[in-house]
Amino acid sequence: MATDVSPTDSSVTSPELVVSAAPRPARPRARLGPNRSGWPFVLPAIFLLLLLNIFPLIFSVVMSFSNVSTDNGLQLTARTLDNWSQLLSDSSFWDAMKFTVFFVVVAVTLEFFIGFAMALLLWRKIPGGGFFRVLFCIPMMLAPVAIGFMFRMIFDEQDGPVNAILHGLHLPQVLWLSDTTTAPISVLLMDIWEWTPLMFLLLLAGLQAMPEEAIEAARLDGASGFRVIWNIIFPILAPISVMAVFLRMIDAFTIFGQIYLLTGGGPGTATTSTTLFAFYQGFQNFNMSYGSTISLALLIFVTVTALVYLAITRMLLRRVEA
Amino acid sequence: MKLREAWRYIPIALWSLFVGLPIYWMIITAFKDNSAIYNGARYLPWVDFKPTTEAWHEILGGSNSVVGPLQHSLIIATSATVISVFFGSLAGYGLARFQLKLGFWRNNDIAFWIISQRIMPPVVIVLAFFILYKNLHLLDTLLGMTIIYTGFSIPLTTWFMQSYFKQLPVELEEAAYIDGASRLTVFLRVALPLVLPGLIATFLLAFSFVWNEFLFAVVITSSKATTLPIMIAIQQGSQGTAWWNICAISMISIAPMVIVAIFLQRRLVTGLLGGALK
Repeated sequence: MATDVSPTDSSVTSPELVVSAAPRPARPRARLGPNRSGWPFVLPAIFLLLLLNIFPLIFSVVMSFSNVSTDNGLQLTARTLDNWSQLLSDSSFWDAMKFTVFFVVVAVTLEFFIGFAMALLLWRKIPGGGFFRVLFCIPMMLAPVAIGFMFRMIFDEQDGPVNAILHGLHLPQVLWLSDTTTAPISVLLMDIWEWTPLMFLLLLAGLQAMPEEAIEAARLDGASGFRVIWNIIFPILAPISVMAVFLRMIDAFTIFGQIYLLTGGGPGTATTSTTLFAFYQGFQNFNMSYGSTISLALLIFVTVTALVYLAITRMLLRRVEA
Repeated sequence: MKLREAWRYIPIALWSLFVGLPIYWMIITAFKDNSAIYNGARYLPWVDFKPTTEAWHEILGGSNSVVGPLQHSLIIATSATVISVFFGSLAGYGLARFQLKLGFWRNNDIAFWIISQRIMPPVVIVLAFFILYKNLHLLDTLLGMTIIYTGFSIPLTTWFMQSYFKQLPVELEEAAYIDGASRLTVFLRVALPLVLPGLIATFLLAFSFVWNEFLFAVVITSSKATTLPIMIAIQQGSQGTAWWNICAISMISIAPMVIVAIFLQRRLVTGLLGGALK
């Protein structure tokens, strides 16, 4: 088992678990002769990335230090630090960041534990298992836009099924989308609905790659179900869990389409994610420079979070495997 | 299964209800009209409301045709995915099989540089692309959309293809080199066919991202290159929201994913080598 969790380490980040679901023997990297160069293979991708990701990123940085509007196009007017000082004192920006962080932490945690539980329940063959596996994976194939609309129908306060069912059970009606306390919960429910399948799928693949003898042996020793999960299953699944949470986390930070159509960021700004805030600043207030500044602040925050997460999980993984 | 394990079905059933309700609601709403949507929830076709195929007539050739956006989506998603999987495979192969040096950087550093771009929030580059495209006259074009999605997918495809190539035993390729084959021949004729299941999985993942993407599409397109997600979003207009159209288009847009997933399921679970070395 590898102890390194850097994303370049294929034993941790290996997507092959999804596909082959078989334990992978360690193989040495091939050396195909010193006279052959690998650069012709790698350079085209590097060139495209420099052109299509790094150049726009640099352009975005330039925009954040200037004043661009949609009217004057490429005309940059130097504004040096104006956008950044505006950002630091903008309470709407901090509200959006607070909501985004709250959303990421709660959603990813719940998605992981529900996905883990469902994977454990459906891991061994049970009647109807195939049907449930397919059903549980449908949500993540739907377009985020469609999901936003679907939950707006479901949570409709007059004509939606959720309030109708609550009414039928003589429970109080909930203002799912128009109340500042419940609207974030609705957004969370939507995201859990959409992305628990990813956790489920990755953890299920991990479970299926696990040697069953280990669990049988522990069972024979009289270990309880909980002890088996904690002492045997969890350590084996730790590397793939680290990767699954990482993937989900960096995507959750950039949530946009679902919220845009479910609540539009409202009521007020109760569900405005950072991406939504940057989008509104750029394309409704037509302040492209300020939108770029917000998005770069998000990039810095996500990068720092990702590095801290990788450092902490690397330490924890070492301990689990020791 | 023993009877005492039947409790498993209780949490599974609860979760199925949660997962199933929005899907069920989408399917029945696609067959509703105005009268069946307002004035209270209606659950059962023929019992609670009279199903109608009006929405399907409207979007399949009526005033609100889905055909154009569907074509745009197919062209953009297919070309962006094919190009990014191609360059991602090349880069993944180079990183998995050769020793690269760039100053202090070795393979792992270069791979990390490529993969770390996956962390970048799309909104960071979309504003820059909007300004750049405005000046290059690439706004609202199929080419412009394909270019953006290609760049955005390459980190993912490189990452996946690299790990597929890494787990491939190197003996077959070495044998081909001894026979005098060139690097490109070995890559195309030996290595690539062996990672076909991985290649398909990578293709699917990249395709599904592009197919469903909304932020780039809403910023860059307006009429000539609109994709299916945009088509769904614009059903919310000044005349009220056409819920039945939204649901029908959503069903059309998820169809290829489900078909491909079912069709390739067996393919994806077959072992990676298929006994090529035995």
